Amino acid sequence: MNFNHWLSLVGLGIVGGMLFTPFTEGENSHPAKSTVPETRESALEQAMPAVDVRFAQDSDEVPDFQRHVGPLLGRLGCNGRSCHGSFQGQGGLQLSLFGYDFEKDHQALSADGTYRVDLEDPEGSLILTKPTDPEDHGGGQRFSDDSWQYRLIKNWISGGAEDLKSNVRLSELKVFPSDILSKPQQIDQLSVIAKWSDGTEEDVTPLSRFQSNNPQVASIDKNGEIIGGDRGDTHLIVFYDNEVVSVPVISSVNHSLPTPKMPFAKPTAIDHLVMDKLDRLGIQPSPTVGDLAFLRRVSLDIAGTLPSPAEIRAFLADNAVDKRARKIDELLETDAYAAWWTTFLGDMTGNSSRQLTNVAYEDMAAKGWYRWLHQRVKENVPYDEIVRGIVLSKSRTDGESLTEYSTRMSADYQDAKADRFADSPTMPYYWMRREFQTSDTLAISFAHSFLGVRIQCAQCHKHPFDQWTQDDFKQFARFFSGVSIKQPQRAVSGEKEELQAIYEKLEIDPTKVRGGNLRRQLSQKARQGEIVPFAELNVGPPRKSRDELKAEQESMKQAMEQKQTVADPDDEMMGGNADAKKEPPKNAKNKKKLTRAERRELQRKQQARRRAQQRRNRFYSDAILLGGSGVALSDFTDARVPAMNWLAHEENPYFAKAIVNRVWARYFGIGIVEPADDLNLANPPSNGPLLDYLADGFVENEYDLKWLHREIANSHIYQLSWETNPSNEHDRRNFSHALPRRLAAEVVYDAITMATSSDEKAATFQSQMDNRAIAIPGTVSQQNRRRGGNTMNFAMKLFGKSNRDSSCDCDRSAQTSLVQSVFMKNDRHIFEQIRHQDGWLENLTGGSESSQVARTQAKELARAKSKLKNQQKAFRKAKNKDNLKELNRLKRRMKMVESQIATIQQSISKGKREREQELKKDEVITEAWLRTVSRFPTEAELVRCRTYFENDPDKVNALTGVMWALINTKEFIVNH
Amino acid sequence: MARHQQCDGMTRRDAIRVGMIGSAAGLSISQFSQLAQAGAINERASGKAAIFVELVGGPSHLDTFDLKPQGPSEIRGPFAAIKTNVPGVEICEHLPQLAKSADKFAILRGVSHSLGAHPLGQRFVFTGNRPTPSLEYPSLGSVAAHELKSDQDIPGYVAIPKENAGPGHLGVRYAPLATNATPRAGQPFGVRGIALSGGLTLEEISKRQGLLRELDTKFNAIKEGDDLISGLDQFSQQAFDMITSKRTRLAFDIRRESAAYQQLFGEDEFSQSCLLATRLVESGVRFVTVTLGGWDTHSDNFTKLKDNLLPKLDAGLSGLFVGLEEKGLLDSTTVYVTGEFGRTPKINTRSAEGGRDHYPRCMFMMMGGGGIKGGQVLGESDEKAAGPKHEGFKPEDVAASFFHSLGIDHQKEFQTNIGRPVHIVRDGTVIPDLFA
Repeated sequence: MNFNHWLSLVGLGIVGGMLFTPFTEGENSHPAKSTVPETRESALEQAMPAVDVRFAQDSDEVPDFQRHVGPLLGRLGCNGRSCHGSFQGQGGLQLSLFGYDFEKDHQALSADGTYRVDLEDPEGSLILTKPTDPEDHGGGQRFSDDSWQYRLIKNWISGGAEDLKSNVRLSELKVFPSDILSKPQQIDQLSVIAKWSDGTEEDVTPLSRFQSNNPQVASIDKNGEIIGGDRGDTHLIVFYDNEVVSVPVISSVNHSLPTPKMPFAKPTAIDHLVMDKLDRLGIQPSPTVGDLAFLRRVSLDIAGTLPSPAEIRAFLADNAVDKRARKIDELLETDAYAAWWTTFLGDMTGNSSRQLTNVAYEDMAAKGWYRWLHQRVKENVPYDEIVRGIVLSKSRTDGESLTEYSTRMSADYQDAKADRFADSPTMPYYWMRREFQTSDTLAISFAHSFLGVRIQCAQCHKHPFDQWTQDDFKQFARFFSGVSIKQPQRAVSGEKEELQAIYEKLEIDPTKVRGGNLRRQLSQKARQGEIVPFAELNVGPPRKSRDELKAEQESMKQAMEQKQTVADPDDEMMGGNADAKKEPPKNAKNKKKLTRAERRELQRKQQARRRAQQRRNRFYSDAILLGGSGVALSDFTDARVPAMNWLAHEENPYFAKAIVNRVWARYFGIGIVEPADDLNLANPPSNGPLLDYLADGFVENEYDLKWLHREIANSHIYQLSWETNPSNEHDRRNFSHALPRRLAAEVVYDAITMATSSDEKAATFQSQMDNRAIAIPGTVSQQNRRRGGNTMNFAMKLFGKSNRDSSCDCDRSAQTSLVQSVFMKNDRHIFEQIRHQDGWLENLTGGSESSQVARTQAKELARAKSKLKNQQKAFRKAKNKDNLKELNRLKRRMKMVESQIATIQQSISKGKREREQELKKDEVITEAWLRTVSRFPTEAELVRCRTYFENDPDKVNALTGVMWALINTKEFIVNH
Repeated sequence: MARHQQCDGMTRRDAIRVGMIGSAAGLSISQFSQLAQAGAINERASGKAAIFVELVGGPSHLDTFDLKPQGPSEIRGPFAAIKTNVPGVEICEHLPQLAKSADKFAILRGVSHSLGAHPLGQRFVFTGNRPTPSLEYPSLGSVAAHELKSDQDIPGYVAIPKENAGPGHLGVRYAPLATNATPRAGQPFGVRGIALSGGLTLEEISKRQGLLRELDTKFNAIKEGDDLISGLDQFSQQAFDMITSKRTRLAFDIRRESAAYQQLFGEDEFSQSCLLATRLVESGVRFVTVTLGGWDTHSDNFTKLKDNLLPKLDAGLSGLFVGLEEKGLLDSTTVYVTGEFGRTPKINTRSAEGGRDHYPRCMFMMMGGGGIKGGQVLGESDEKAAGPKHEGFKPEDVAASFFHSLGIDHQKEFQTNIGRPVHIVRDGTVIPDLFA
């Protein structure tokens, strides 16, 4: 393994090195911060003055395309997506979206015959006449002909309109001030200084673009002038070249606060870090919550499960000081924790039933994926090891033959719980998803899953908020280009006969039976216990896509044609070519000396070389890691290896941060970086030191997920109330109070079951994950209809369980909707659950035994009633026929049945009365509260429920109403 | 939340606010609706509601609305073309009712795309946007639910029995109320969640709602400031209004239509779904998706069409157009009928009588009502119905036109939940000839 390649990414310098600083130095620091603090004044003094000064009057200076003209076009908005940055271009001119493709933009501007740039008549160039003419330019007037912009562009054209002059690159972008303490109406100004690799520095403020992440707190205009707004904090973002720099702005909520005092008795590291920020903001945190609110919150967050009334009472009765910490430990040991956080990892890695239909048979792959993760979460395997098992996965174990592989997989298929698969060293399904079969989509998925970076923007254009260019993306995608799937009807070379033998034994001809039909037949055979072939992951050398090869061949052909014509001295047509004349005909001398046979031999050799070259050319020889260094891929048999080494290297700026931030977001409803899967330079963490602390601690503790859970859940900050005070009511980003969050789809569904089940059933439900929504392996529950699979899937869709389809954490929805409310109020599932025969309510009103009696009685009553109805019918018939004898007979029998009905009815209402009398109303009402909202009702709430109870003669119905109302409160469906 | 400024000066936060009713601090829901109304919807458009018919599986264009009676035998098939009530327009002989109402709709021929797998084709045609792995586009209905305002006590978007594309990046809030079942002739039709279930009476649920209102006070202090809390309150009330609304209940009860009206439709479930769709639109639902599946006729294409699919399609669609007209709703309701692709001109020989396979390069679509000029055929396929004869239409063009008929600007931009700006229809132009 070549460590040099990936180690060299540390301290890379140039632009790639910039990547680390915004994250590792925290939000208060600035990438440009050097050891000796530089003031704005001294920096400006050293730097070349800005272009608006240099071109204020006529000047002889010839500006540079990359440093000046390109950025100016960006600043003027020319390359915006509704203008010339559109993929269709605008008015015939297309620039690279968001700039940065300097070469292409230069070509577009200087293309022959367009007169965009006219070297003969610079002032007649369209790039000067159009933007100065409000009539002729679709984009309106962008500057006047008496402006520095005009003179800058004019001088560039009259200087020859040259492309990039040299290899000088931007090495640092300094922004002053590096942070801002603002207040309403306060005016500040940002200055931007570019430092180039040749050592020159220039004030580029008029060529930079600015943006405020929250204009309500601080707005910034196009010249970098800042006006303070509301109290709070945000970041200002500066863009120049491909660099992105953020500047924190804080506008303290309350300047008159007394010297801040730590409000918590034994503050944790998290408490300190959050309080540091809150102190600077002048925000007082909310108080911590009581035991009951804590218990509900932490049970839902760690285990995705409501606490039972017994648990609540036990927790209250516990007087130990460390009972919260112990509860956290206890929850982390439950099966529910393992299930719920496996589901979290399933979201993150994209375990989607729909994407896996072709990988194995039925839901086997999704189940295997789930079980594999589950075993590791349960055993608390270090996170980096889990990821390694996914990233470097293989279908076959070392040395496994096709027959052995098929035998093993066929046996796994029989294993309904996929426990055997969970023991596999690696989990290959990640790479085998149906719609993730190009290196581009795999790169997007990899960056999303393990880096928390949305690189997809750069697939088509420069990332608008980050430094990634299309080239960065393409280079990164190379690492995944060797990954492909081998379908079960195909054999790799050397295994054809082995595969044939398997099919022969199955009596299936894969050349005749195809597609879905073949899959069905194979799955049927597998079910019968036969050995069938399976799809498998193929990891070959990183291979260029067909389109790329074609484009390469095309350009090679062109180059060759050119070379040939240049090299051929006999070509009269090229006689005018000065280069061709200068160049001596290289082969001319040799040609004469060679014999015919020698020539043929030479040609043969050349041809062989060319072919070998072509074969080699099908593969990539190198690739570049995101923001990192180049890697010689030929050093590795599996190109995923260097990507994995880079990923889990402790200096990787994303790997640890991405996971700790996501876990944090699950506990707080909002990430330290938010959206939690969008780590980019323009989206800095709201609390950089906090993110650093967690990420560093996570690495130091060997990627121990439970360490992370404990660290977060034991902090006072996690245990704050949602109730706000005047200083923190507008804060959503600094964790000064809890944010109410709608329960996740799976958790809502399970909470309804849990709240309505009998104590006995609830206990099983808490400990066994078989029928739990939080333990659905893929995206769709395979439970059959009888066990509620349909309703479960219906609810999952309604409440937005992640469909894990598009490499975005937003595949899971926490939105509320009309149909959700309709479901909670009026779906038969809710009524069935409240009145379920194994439910709490049925149990309460006499237990299963007497409800058995009640059911029998109800049946008897129904039978008697229908009997009576038939008799009445017969009676009417007989009456019509005047059959007196029959009429009398029927009258007698009807009387008998009527009295029978009366008896049954009497005994039913007696039983009901008896059962209802047993109901101690305050007790059951309290129980209903504990079951749903995990707390005791207040006196007023109790009184209200009591009245409701008393006003309904049917007590069971009354209690049903109370349960219905409680399940429909916001308090039930929200974690708070 | 990062607020990324877009080039039009709109921040991501603004867009999300406009996108989600009830998510703004400070502005009331109704103010928001007004804002949304004022911005996007062209009130002068004829279409106020829409019925979208998904022919799932990919119907054969050659055996329905794009016959080639003069074509070579290996593509022609056994069906004859018949005249319609529009001179010069001919359709399949097994669609006699539609032939009599051909003046009410336009037929688009030579619509063409390149995605020949069911899920991809469906996601393309049923959203109007070519699918990409990094973004899920919302279905036509979810876009309409987002753009068109509907009354509080009636669902804005209903799917019978479900839609095939999904709300995509707009999120579950804009998913349809799915009936999950299809109505049967003369039988009561209960929709999950709509009809009061569990023996609940109006009185009982009102009583319970009263109790709920008094118990549900925990978050009153932050009611105004928190999007989630205010959203839950709003939807809770709306759900109650809808469940208890007589109008909504009656809207789903197809038995209330007169016998004469019911006779406009067939007795099959698709026809009954069409009947329900007209009734829902009449009651104030703004968008209804109706599905008729089974068009994936790889084998025995002609028997399946003749005996099963075409009679249903004929009865359902003709009922839909005539019924809407009878209710005076045809001018204000756009009907759009399409599958995910066409089928191969060449008849395969895998089954006794042959079938046709997936074929996105050439397909038909239909549109009528809502200001669409009926009684015309737009576009043309080549001699073998193997591709558009001239330039042809793209699914995006038809989707853009469909939104145009509803007054929705298809070039309007949404912010996706990752802050990416996307047009409603990324890459289409309105077909002017469709409109009267």
